[in-house]
Amino acid sequence: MMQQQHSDNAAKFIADDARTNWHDETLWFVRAKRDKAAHNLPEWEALRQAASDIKDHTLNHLDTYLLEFEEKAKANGIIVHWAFDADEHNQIVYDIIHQSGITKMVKSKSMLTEECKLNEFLQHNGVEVVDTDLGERIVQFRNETPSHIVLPAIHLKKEDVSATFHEFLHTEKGNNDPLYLTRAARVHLRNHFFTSEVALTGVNFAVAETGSIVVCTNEGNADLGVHSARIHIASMGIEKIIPKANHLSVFLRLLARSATGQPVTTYNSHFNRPQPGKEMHVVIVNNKRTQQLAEPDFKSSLKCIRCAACFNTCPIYRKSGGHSYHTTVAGPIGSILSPNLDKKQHADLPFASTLCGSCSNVCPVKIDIHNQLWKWRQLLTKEGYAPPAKTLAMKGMANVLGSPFLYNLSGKVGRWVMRNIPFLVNNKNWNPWFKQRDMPKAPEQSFRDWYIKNKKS
Amino acid sequence: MTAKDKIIAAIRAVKPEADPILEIKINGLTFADKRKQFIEVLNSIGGVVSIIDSKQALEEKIAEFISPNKIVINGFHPMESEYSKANLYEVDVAIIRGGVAVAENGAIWVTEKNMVDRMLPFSCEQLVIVIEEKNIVNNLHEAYDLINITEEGYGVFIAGPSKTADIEQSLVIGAHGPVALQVLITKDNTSTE
Repeated sequence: MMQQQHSDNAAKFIADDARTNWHDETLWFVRAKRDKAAHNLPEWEALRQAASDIKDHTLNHLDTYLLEFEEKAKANGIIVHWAFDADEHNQIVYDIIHQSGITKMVKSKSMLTEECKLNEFLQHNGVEVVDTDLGERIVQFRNETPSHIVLPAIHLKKEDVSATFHEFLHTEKGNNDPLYLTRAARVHLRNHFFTSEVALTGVNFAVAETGSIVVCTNEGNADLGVHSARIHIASMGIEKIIPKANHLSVFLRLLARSATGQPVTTYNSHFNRPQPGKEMHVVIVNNKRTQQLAEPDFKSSLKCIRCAACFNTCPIYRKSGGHSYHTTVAGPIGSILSPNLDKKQHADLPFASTLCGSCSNVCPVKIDIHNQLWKWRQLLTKEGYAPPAKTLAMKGMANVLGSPFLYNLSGKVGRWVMRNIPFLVNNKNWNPWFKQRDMPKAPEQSFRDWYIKNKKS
Repeated sequence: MTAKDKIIAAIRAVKPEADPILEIKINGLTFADKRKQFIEVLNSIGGVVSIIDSKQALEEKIAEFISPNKIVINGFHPMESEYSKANLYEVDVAIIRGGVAVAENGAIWVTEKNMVDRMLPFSCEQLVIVIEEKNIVNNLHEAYDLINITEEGYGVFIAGPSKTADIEQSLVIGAHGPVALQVLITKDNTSTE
């Protein structure tokens, strides 16, 4: 049976009070920047609705738009590959690299390749992979995974980064200045851009009518990698399609504002055709997305544009850290995407939420994330994947709430225990509720007893 | 069955029969003074702006960037030779022409033919983009109405110098790309051709 992994991991994360509070406040700061950016646009809600409508429409015609994209991209001189699952994707990428006799690849941010575990696969087959997003490079050095899809190293303090860079880039020991450390990474990564003949990027948007892909970064790392290399490989999930080029205006206006509060990402690159003498490949990947598409309750999760606004607003994410989610995409959206990839492995995640609904309120494409968390809980419990303690507790509660006699009795017993032997409930070992909370003062009588008494008098 | 056939079949198996026609109409934010707005936003994201009044002023401004101990590529003059990858990584200043500029977010549309090389706007230390005031539009919707993204092999909206906040959310201007961006806005009566 599965473990309650998220709560176990979170317990370790919050053991360091100061760091937990720093993490919480830093992400809340990003959320506040998002609010300011959103409130500056009177048409914000209209934009969200438009983005949601475009994505709904596209998911309903995904076959048409994927085929249109393929046709246009091929006409543009792009080589298009299709991969049914992660293994096929990894093999396609490896074959492209291997056939060219290349042994090093630079890679900009791509959550899909994290999902497919591409780095491990390539390294196992003798290809060095250099992640070029600064945050991703930091976690790669440390042999960790990104803890946030937009801010991969948000779980680390500058002292941690300094120690890592001292070890791998021989920066001054104890120099924690972010400017100094960023400049050191700049020199290191520019050397890798210069010397790599193959560059892999993710895809933020793929435009069906033009066969173009759009990649957004702030650091310029995707472009430096691609333009330096002879071969560009772009990996995209089937859900990255949008029908028309002018739909980009809707998504680019929402993406960076939702992600970091910036008015737009620094570089919004439109790749249409390879440069003469160079190669461009697009790998279109399913990896169980069609399975999610077939579930009416969860289909709309495929609308996600990976802005991470739901992470930054989520009280559970902010206070438990990305690694507690033990999955590629953490946070609320990850908790509704991951169970589709593996129900058993990720059954704990839909329970890592208060269902407060803040995620749905900030989502730029209006995914009803909190409803889907709740629906996943029901489905996983029904199919026997829910954490056993939770299932047992729910069954017990259902019995008590379903019987007036048991309900009255348990109320009386509870009040008596809290008054007379409080250490039984005010105890972290026996009562998980008490871990982060104080128990209320037990009233003398139940509301029902009070009502009956006062009504009579 | 190929992966493609399997994916398309899986999509078609659950395709809904009817779907309302998609109609998108957004009334994007507009500004009384687009140039002022563009400058404010660009400054807020780390860019610097100069207003250029005449053709001569533009020549003079460009000349200020040229220095014997700096490698400068001036996209306004015909190139004498092709640049190697190594050359492009050593450029101190690149001066290129931009197209549509967006007041709401400080982004400038730059296409391949004005870049000298696709690498140049990213590999240089300092990027200078020359735009015409009349090409400043209110918002991205207006911008996409004006451009054709596939007119050339590659095009990019650039908003400010490269940046990162990946270390403790401390903003650092100058990640892997340019550490500075200067935008020269030429008045409408200034021919830059």
